[in-house]
Amino acid sequence: MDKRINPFNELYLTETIGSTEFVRLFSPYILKNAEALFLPGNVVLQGVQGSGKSMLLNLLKPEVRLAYAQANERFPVSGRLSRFIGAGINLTRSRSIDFGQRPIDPNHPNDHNIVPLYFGDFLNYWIVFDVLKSVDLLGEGGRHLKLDVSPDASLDTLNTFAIALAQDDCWFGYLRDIRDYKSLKERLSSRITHYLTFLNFNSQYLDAAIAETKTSVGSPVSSVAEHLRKTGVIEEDVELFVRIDQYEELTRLEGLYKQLGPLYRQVVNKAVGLRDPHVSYRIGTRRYAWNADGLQFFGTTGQLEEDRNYKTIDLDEILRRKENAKTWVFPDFAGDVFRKRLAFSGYNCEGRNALLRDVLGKGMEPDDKARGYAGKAPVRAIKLDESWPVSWKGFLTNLAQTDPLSARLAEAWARQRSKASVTNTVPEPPYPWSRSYWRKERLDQALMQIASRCGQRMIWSGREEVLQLSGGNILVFVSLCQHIWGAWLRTVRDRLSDDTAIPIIEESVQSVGIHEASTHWYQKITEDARGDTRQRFVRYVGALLEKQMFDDLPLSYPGHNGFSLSLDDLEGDAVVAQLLNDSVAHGDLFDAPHTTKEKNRKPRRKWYLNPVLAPHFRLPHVRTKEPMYISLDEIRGWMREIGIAVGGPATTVRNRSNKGEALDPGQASLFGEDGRQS
Amino acid sequence: MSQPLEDKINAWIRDKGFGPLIQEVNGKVLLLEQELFEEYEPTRGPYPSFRTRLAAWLDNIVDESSQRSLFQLVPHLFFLGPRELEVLYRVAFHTQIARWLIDQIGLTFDQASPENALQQAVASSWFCPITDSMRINAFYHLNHISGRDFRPDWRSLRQFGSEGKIRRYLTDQGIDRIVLLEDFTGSGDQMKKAVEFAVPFGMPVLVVPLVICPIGAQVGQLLSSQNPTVTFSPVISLQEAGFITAVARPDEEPLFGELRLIAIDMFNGLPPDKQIDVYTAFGFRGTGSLVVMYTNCPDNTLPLVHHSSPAWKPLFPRASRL
Repeated sequence: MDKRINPFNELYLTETIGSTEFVRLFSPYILKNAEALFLPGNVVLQGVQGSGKSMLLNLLKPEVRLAYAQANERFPVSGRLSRFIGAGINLTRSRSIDFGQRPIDPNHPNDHNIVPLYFGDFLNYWIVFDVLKSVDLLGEGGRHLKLDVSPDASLDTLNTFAIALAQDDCWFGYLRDIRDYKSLKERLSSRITHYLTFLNFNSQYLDAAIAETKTSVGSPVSSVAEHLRKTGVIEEDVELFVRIDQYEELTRLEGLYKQLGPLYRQVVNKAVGLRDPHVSYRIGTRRYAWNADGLQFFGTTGQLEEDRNYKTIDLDEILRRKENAKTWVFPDFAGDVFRKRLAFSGYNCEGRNALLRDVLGKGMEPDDKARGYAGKAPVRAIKLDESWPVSWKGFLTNLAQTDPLSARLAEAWARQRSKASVTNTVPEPPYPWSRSYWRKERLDQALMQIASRCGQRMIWSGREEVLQLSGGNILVFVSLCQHIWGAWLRTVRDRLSDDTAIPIIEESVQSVGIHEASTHWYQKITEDARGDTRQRFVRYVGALLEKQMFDDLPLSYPGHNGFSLSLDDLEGDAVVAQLLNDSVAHGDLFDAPHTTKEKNRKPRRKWYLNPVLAPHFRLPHVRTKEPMYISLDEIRGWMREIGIAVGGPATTVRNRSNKGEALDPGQASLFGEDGRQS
Repeated sequence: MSQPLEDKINAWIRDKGFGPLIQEVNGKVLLLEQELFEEYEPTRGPYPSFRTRLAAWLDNIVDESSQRSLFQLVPHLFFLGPRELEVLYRVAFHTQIARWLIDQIGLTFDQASPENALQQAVASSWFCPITDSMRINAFYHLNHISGRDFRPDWRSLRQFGSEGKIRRYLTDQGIDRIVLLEDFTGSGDQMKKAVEFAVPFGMPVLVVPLVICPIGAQVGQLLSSQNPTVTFSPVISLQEAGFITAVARPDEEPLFGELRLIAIDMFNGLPPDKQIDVYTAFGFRGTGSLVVMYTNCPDNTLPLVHHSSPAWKPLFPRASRL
């Protein structure tokens, strides 16, 4: 084992490794809430980049099924849930998205209207061919390994199946002369090759026989499922699950045929909308590509309906933290992934039940963090008001020497409305600002301010904080681990030998890695559609919230690391709604409904930066108390500031007082020099 | 004992003010180290690694702020690794040299078999280095040039060569023109001497520095304007903004101002005999270059990068001729 290798170097490992390695690395924890994936019925598996969609869909592949059996490992699902065979298509790797790179019939006046028909036909042939590959794989290997879903792969049965399938009307005669299984596969393969040859500009025309036998999307897949059962190749209760992965690629088509993307989505929708009892589709898609605007069927005005046509498994929803931390599945999932990565790299993880905690520790206590920030000049942690009595100033100054966090909280206490009396009568311990909830709600804001006043970046470390910063996204978690491990490797590079002990990584080193990862995720925002605009918005909002929270001297608004807008306002401006929805769909912002504190009781929604961005923007990641309430005009003002054209009256972005009220325009520039370093 | 390098850098990264910048610089340094810096020939073999040298280099200075400035200098170094030089060899041949040859033989678009004519022109040209720093064999191999047994450097020819023998060789070999190449040209002194030696042989001369400093480029242009047979055509002409010289440029970035002071302090801290070795605080002829080639560090580069003595530990120690 080479200890210099970072176990987290490859972020997308489960997408690139072979089936045998997949068995070693797959974490079953995510399955608890994804049972629908193994039950009959169509499923849309959605989540932001890196949420684990492809990893889950890979579980449906026959190669993976066989690899589990070969390794003598229990398949992650059993009983009724395991009675399936899987096949499918990855829209990128199959090159389906190459449709649109070339007109099929340049002389046809409405070529772009007929291209989706060919796209659907290609999907049919690819999927059917893949079903047969699954039958072969599971038939040959599965019987040998005694897999109970193994098809009957005897030549007679398969030939009977092939002849029956070929006679189905859905092929429009293209398979009419098929007499056995072998020639069926050859014919299917030949048609796929014809398509790819044409799309790659290696032939001048598409075969005329193809133009005359275009199949209707979904029909051949239904037919193959029906005949597999009828002819006894698979048992009646064995489900056929068809994966369609990277559906979001259909929203990214560029160039001449950019307008075809929505039509291709409609083609896929049509297959799903067939509600065929013989076939269940599993569509893997990023959040932004699956929305109400794109659910129409090709060629009709009908559209997919959730629960009627499909169920949704929202991985983001499953993996993000809810109010009840005990039901949060992500920590176990992440811990298992962590352990498997280390074991895969050669570390001995036997008997280590809490490996993530062993390596990252619990993280620093808030008081220790404050002391770390304050260093040798802890008085920097507090700001004294000139009007305060000397005795109170002296008390705070002394307290800061031993407990800068308590001193900062005491300072805030004295600044809060109706609590100023404390400055005249210095209390004895236990101090009122140490009361459980008051203190807990303000800890992170106080620490953020102390770090800033002392010229330090915030320290992030320990298992809990790494999990929280991951925001329920396994890719973010692995990325954080990658940078933390990288930072650690740099500190031991001269000492590396054959010592293969699992390390305990110092908090200060973890923090460096976490800051690197945070910046990396901030820079990644630009990678997707409208990323430049979204990144500008995130940058603007991040800087604005950081300033608001820093300037809040009484710590009255510890929840202002997020903002809230009424649904009325949100629905009142399509441009605002689109930017916010886009930012959420791409994972830049997290959103949630919340109960309003206002008398009008209007429903509201709140938004926070993705927690992994918090270190980059020097913001606390913990959500507590009320977010910052803003109006439609205010957010329009933000958007104007970053060059987005929005409606409404021209407004100036307003600073807020440390009481949370908007101040008059004419205040000092929002991002001007604020002299915040003492 | 000084603080370990990683602890030092990590502490800088945790600072609110300069932390984000140092984090970015560190990322670049790590990448450059991995991709390029380990290629430096004078430190191959049993020699401290780049990271060890970096630690010692920063520790040349006590003041932490100055150490950070030095650290920020590293990504500004223009390091030419073997792959980069190979690209320059090819670019020189396919652009500077090809264009010149086309002009020389008057090749036109409508000419029959232009490739053959160009190959003939190559065959009747003599590609030689100006100094032994230029790896002329690699230039020949990469560009598939053959048919020339001798490829002497003209600095040595000027010193030891016989003009008569050279003339005979030119005649015997059917050479119609000379192409002089150099990997890095700083002040242009050696280039000037070599070209002045070549001109009297009475044939067209093309001078192709792969990388040249502004001061050297001026010399090259002057040579060309004074000698009708000389064409000066560098591949990369470095801009003045990438140099740290004794006089500040009005638009230079603040870091360069800090580094100027460090360079002067470093020079002043050297014993007189060592000061002679490095010429000035900004290197030979005060060039102030930031170029490092994998083969060696030019003496035109800031001495604080390459100078080695008990008083200063270098980042890229220079293998000196003398």
